Amino acid sequence: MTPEARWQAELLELIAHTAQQPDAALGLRPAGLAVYRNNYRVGLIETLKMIYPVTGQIVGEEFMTGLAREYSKQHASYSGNLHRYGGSFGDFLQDFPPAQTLPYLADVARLEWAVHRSYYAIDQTPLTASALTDIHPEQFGQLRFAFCDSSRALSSRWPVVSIWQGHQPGQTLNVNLEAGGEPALVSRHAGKVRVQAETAGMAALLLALQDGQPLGEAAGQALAAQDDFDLQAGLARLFADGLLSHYQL
Amino acid sequence: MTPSSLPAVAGIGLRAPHYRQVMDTLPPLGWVEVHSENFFDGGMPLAMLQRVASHYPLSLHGVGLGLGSLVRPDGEHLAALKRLVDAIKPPAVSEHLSFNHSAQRYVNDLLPIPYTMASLAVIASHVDETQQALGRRILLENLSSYVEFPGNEMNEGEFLAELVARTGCGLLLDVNNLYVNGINLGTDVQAVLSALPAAAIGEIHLAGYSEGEGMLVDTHSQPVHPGVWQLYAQVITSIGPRPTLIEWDLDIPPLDTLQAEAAKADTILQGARHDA
Repeated sequence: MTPEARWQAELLELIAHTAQQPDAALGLRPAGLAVYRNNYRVGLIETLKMIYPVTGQIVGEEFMTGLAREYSKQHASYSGNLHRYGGSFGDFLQDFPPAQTLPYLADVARLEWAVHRSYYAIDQTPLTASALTDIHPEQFGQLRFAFCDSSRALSSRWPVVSIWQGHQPGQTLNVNLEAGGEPALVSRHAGKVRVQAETAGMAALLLALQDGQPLGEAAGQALAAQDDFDLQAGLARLFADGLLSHYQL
Repeated sequence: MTPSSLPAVAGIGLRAPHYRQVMDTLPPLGWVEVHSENFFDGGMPLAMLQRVASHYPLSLHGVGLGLGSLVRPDGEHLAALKRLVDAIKPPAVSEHLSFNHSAQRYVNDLLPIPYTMASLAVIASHVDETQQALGRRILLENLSSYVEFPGNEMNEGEFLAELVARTGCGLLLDVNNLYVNGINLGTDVQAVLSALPAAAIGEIHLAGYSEGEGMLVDTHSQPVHPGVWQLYAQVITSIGPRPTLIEWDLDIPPLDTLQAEAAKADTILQGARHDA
């Protein structure tokens, strides 16, 4: 490593680790290093607040700042694009003791990440049912699908969709936390991100397909999860809502 | 022929609080600039930017490629930038002469590079790689810096001039950054300016700093300061009119405040045209 590359690498570590004292040989003025350290921390915290507005509303501004600060200490940025930072915030909340009094918070954050990724996701031409006309019906069960980057299904033990919707502008929160889990589907329509709760059968179908399982297997799981599930209508929705990008046989 | 096809008038940095107003009312703006990363991938942001680009000359200004990082540029980031440039086909594409990552980590900031012959060779190859990937010339911007590599062999202007000579890139001269470095680091502003090849300067940035602890901080949160206007007027008199951007990124004021700042820059640009 050249002295120049070493200086760059050490400066990056010093900016991220505020307790470390710089080696005098790096020639870093303390006031200058302080500017970068402050930029770094504030930048990551503000990014998390932007991506997770509902989580922030639930816990309040001050607690959210604390959560974001702690997360930013544990999780480095791995991209020059800040829109990609913070994807594991939900997992962090799941395990972070001060957040345990709100057991649904982690799932709300996971839903917010899916909404964020959906909003910025690349534009793809969704798969239509007519793309499958050449496939022999006996092979349908073996079909596997890739979801569009803007589509994502999530399961939850909590009514996360009602919680999320109740925190949108102009909405009032009316949630019974004991009402049971709401599986969520995040999808994008004319640029707008849609979040909706799904039935147990539809959720099982979506989650199995998203997981890469073949259609026959996914259909079986959907019917096992909900015995009156309308499989035909469920399959039609995959195409009508433009959730899929590719198939593989 | 300057290295960008933006008009040599004042434009503004278009930021989220003004998207709706600009799209609904299409106010008279010489041109606009956005941060490239905010429009990566697709969806509504990209669709909106395509509409903006159909009404105004548009400049894509990257804040995250970190071309000055002495490890290889991030291929995924460059690919996303290429998709955006291909979709928009803007009159100008710019990046900063800064670094933001090592093999271990990213810091999403604009960090100053060592101005040495050894880093020049590496960074020139990154500029080449970027220009080849994008299929076009890019403009590189000088930085506001709060620390310096202790073994610098040249000033930032000399380094940029070498990059222009080696890669054919253009320059984006940020007058506020230069002014701030003069105060914070004791940079010889006139020496940097005189090192820059005037013909390569395709765009100019103006912004307002704020006063931190013993430092001027390039926050883009204020009107352009009088000392920066003075330096800008000197530059324009010396090199002639150039596309000039008013940048404001924090505590963003109403659009008409930005337009009033742009009008001041236009007055200086017009003065230079009359004198020519």
